[in-house]
Amino acid sequence: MTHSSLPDNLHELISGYVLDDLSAEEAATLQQAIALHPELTAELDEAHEALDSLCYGLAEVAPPPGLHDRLLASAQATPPAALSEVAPPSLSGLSMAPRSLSRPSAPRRERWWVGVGGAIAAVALGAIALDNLRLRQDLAQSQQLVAALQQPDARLYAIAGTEEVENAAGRLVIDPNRQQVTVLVQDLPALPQGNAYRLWAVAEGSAEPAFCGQFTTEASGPTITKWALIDEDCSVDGRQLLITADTASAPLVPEGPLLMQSVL
Amino acid sequence: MSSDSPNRASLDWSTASDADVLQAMRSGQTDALSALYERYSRIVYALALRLLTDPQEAEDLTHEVFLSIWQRNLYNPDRGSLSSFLMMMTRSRAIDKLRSRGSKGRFLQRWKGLVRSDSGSPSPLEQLSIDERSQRVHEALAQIPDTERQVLEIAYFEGLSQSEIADRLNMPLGTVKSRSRQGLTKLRSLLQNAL
Repeated sequence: MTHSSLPDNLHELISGYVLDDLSAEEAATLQQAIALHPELTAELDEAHEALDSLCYGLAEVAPPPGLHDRLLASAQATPPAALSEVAPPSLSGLSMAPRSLSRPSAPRRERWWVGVGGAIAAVALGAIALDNLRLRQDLAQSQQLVAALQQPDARLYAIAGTEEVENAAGRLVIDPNRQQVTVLVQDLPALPQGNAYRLWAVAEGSAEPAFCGQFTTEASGPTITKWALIDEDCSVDGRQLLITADTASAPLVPEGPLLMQSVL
Repeated sequence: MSSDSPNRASLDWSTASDADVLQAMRSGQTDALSALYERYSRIVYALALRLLTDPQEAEDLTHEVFLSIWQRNLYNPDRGSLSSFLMMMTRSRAIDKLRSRGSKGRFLQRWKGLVRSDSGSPSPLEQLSIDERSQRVHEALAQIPDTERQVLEIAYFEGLSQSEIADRLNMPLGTVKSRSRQGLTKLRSLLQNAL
């Protein structure tokens, strides 16, 4: 790891990120550090775990005495899960539970790889190499994108430039279980200092896009950036994804020009 | 006693591992469900009550969480402890209920994204028993200044924004921000050092 490239206040930024109190500039600094050092995501996990450990700091409280009998009566009325039932691959099985947040799924796009297993990597690499988006085959970047694609329930989006940057193209993977997004873009010009590309998710018919994070690009060549989503609306299936250029520290509403959007 | 259900004859529920209890539960033994309830209901209920604040809703959620474990094979032991899974499920569903209640939109916006999955193998903290884990957390929290712990707990359990916490505690926003960050950084460090 090149420690010289890490911000001095890295631990503070990581805590701020987990606490959701980073300024846009701080978020951009951390995002950049994570892009350069993906291993920092382990530190984010540690910080998340530390915050979640507050649950274990609670004093235990005995439930009302009748609850045990009520539970057993309910259990006796319903069969237990069978041994043969396959458990979900991770704690993300939570997302499989009935939730009031659930909404009818929009028609799934580009989910054809789900269940394909080992073929995913080859297919994704092939798509990246052969598609007309002219994404250069950078092995490290492809591997990062493929790794993101291999996560259960990951969704792949193609993103294309608008008229202002018609050559810009890219791919975007959203992992709803880890709440992570990986963005690979090409021919999206480097912005002046203090500006950033911002990713938004908007539901059909909604006028209120959810802010999903921001990133910057290099002067030339493809750029891949990965970060964790704060707003869960960003990972909901069926959202239109948009990329604008804004001041990095501006309020979290899209004001700059629309430069890229997800395509069918 | 049939020979194909040795658990029923031999398992001491108070000392059996979570894995053994779960396996017994899968064979339909409600005693096993009782054992899990005995082991984890107090912390699940405490969390439900802290988040929902309403005793009846907390009771219903505790019922829902344990019944879900009975009805569906949701838990994968390769990814973490059963206690962590139960806490995450409790928290996730409590947040859903708050959302449906419609009164804590800010809370949901802030924390929903943090109800997340562990992506890798269980962490060292995950591998401790619930009693050991609670003890480590209590010890770590005891070493954090009350002022930092206070803002952390308000943010975590009540989902207030930094400015809302500043208003409630009548202190500058910058102080709230620095205290919460410092508190979490210390907590993380203390927990790592304790392992």
